[in-house]
Amino acid sequence: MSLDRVLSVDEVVCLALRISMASLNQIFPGNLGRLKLLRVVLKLGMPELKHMNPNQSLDPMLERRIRQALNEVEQG
Amino acid sequence: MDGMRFPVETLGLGRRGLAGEPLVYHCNFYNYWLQKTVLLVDGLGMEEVIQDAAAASVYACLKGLGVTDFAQAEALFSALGFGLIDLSSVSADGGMVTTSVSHYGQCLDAAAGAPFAKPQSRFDAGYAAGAGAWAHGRPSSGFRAAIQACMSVGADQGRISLVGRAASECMTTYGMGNSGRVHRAPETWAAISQERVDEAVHGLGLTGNEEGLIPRFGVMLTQHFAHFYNRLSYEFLRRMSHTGMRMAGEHLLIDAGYRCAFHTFGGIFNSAEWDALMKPLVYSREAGAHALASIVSTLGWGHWRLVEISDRRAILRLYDDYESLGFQSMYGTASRPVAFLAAGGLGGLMNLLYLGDILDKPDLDSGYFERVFEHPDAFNVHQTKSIAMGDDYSEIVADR
Amino acid sequence: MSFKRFADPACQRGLTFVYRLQHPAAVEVFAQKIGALAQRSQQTWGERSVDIWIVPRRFECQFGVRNLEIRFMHRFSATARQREADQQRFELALSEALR
Repeated sequence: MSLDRVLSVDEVVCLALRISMASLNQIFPGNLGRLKLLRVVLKLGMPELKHMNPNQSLDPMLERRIRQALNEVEQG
Repeated sequence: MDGMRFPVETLGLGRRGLAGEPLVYHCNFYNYWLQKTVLLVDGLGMEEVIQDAAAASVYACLKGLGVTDFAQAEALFSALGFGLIDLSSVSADGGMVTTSVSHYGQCLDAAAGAPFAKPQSRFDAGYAAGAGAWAHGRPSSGFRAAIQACMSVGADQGRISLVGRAASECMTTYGMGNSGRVHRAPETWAAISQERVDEAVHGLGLTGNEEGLIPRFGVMLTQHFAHFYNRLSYEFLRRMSHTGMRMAGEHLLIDAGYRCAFHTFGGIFNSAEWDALMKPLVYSREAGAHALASIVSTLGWGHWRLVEISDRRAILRLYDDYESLGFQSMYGTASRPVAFLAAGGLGGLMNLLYLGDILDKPDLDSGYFERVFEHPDAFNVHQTKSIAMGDDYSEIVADR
Repeated sequence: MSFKRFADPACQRGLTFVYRLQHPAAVEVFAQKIGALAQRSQQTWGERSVDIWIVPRRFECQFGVRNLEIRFMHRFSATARQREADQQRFELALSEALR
């Protein structure tokens, strides 16, 4: 995985201790969020995301990938 | 643009055709969300499909019209609401095509709500390639088109280069394709006949203005090639079939239909045209639903008939819906229903009427969209029958 | 002034305006004032007759879209300066037609 920016102290600590920062439901709230999640699933090519427990905390590395993909799908 | 130069015919149960190619009206919201969806997955080759589908569609239409001069191809581009295109510099070897006004280049940003990272005018490129190929006697994929500049990413005009290529395989359209087994849709609303609604809506002159655009009902319409939409949708799903993400793809195609319905249907309900044509006949939400279905039935989408409608549930039957007929014509009998646009459309219609109080003419802003979309009691849609699967009609149920 | 101007909230780009009138405008006076550049046509929306003027690639106005209501739409191609000038010209002609 390549990093395209300097990580915050919080992110470094979370990564080092493998502490999760959010669940899918927190990143993708509501009906609109559910559709954004589907777009991220397609963008990342990760159908397994649909079957994850939406309330379970995400691995920080995965969360980072998801947030990057979310940024991309939210662009025009 | 003189609308009489391209006489679009209404055929059978709400289908519309020009020179043997089915046409359907769609708005900038649908054009944006469909394109965005099919391009989400890297490596599917959908950019090429978009351009090839556009090229094949315009090639077939010009061939059907029997015209070979660029002036007609330029006029067709304008009449259908795609903008203003200049094909005059294209020779048998290629050349540069420009667009001074472009639906895809300039009108999708209102739907996107965020700046574009990439050019959006792939359809224009395909159109240029197909028109050039037809005029110079090449096969429909005889030119490779490349977008050199696009207004969606800040250029002052669109520029598309064409270079001749030896085409090994050509995408072809299915023409008017199959039609369904039913020859007359049942009347489910007695207030006005479908023929009168057809006449009234087509009397609005929904063709490109002198800029080649169709600004109507608060959206930007196009009168587009049904083959183009169907090829994009079903080729996208076909190419996704082994990825484990096909269902997610179907949901997103339904979402594109929902957004189309929300903005176009919402715009129709709010319009002065609605007040003039339909409001005197609409005394309830249910009547509003029937009235809107009769307008939709003029758009080339097939005949929409609501056989049941209440605040909890609706059953929509589709006769000769362009999605199912197009799928069947291209791929044969389907194993699952394929009317994704219509399914999203019904969901959007029901949510507008019963959650969004659309008959009270609210402002159709993003806050309204979000409130309706996030409503805990929103309608769900299920496709229960499909012409593409061999049924007499396609059927969609909305409930909550 | 015997009209009120509203930006049409349905228009995604702020190019459409709705004018509400206190009394009907004299359409022939407007036609004379807006000038020969404008192409005139008419549409029938159900029982309603709508008079339309288009100045190509600059603007379109539709009289009678509702009772005492006019829709004015700038074209995409017009520059901001042209739009401002055209809307002033339209309002001037409309004012004359409302005298």
